[in-house]
Amino acid sequence: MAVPVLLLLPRIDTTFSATMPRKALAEPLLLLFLGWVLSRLVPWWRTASYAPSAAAAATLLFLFWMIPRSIDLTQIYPDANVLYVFSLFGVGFLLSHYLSLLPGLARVVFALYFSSMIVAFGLLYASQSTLLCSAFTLEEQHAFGWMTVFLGIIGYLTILASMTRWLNSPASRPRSQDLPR
Amino acid sequence: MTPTKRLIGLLVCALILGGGAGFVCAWTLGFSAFTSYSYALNKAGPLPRAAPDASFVDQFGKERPLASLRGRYVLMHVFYGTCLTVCPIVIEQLREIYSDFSAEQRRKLIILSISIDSVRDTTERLADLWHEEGAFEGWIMAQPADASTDRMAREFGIWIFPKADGTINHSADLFLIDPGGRIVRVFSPEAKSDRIRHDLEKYL
Repeated sequence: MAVPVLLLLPRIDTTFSATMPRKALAEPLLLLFLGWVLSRLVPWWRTASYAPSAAAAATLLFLFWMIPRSIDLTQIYPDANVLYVFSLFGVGFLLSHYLSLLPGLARVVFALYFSSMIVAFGLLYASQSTLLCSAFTLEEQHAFGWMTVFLGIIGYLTILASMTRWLNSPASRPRSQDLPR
Repeated sequence: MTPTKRLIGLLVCALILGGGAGFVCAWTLGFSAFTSYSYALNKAGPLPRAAPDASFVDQFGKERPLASLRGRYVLMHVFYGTCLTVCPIVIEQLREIYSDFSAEQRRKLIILSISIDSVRDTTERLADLWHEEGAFEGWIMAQPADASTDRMAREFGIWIFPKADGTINHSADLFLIDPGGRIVRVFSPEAKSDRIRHDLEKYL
């Protein structure tokens, strides 16, 4: 828990809050990564039946913090910023813990959905000629939009690469006892 | 995984999805307001609605209630004099529209530009700006009286966000108030001058 608190230190927070790409892209990515990594180090009770719930909760939290008004509030109210930091850290934590418990196909569908959501948000922010987040500038909004689209495309490519590797691995081939005689 | 556990898992998932969707619905006023600007506007209420009971100090230093403009259409917007982005564009747009109207149409319309920067936009500064923009008789450049900017903004549905660098991000909507004192139309910042002029002509 000390790790997300570090991001709330005034100097670090000011650095992230300086521009929209930093606040709405770099900081969430860092928090997702930290949540993901730390969940691997912390033993946590988990059960496969709650994996879809965890994926749904993580998606909703991420989606909520991509809404322009929500991003604005993190710049106005310090409490909203604390919530932002901890909930995105929680998203990384949840995804790391529960994603591996989903069936293979569901995992791929979820990853594709998540990447599509990121691309859609990116296109929305990049294409708007009016300011969506009042705390930032239009130039920053467009830069953030295109960076987010780029990130989503990297997500697609990663999924594609993982699927290709999985299809070529022995685990994906039918075992000899499964073959018809 | 037992069927009971699976059922509980699905129920929890449905609860999270339903609760989350409900929360986002409430947060965005029924999926209609995703930005702070649209939220402030929608929160103020549907159109037509009564214009706020606000007062302003004009470019000549005279304090006047908004109600004193009743009997004519009022096209109101907020701005600040040191703005380098949207305000000069909106003011130029208004100057173009107002210049194109006939004398008869101008008699029926007042343009009310209210400054949200009470520190830098003094009465003298507003008077200078008024002269720069053509000194039209029916164009009032003002600032809210008795520091009532927040209340006025909330009641009109205008979002104002003063930034640390001294700039102020704000809604750039144009509010059309009818002679009876009701807000009857809101023109969004994306609306083109021709469209605004054409729509205003229907009223004048």
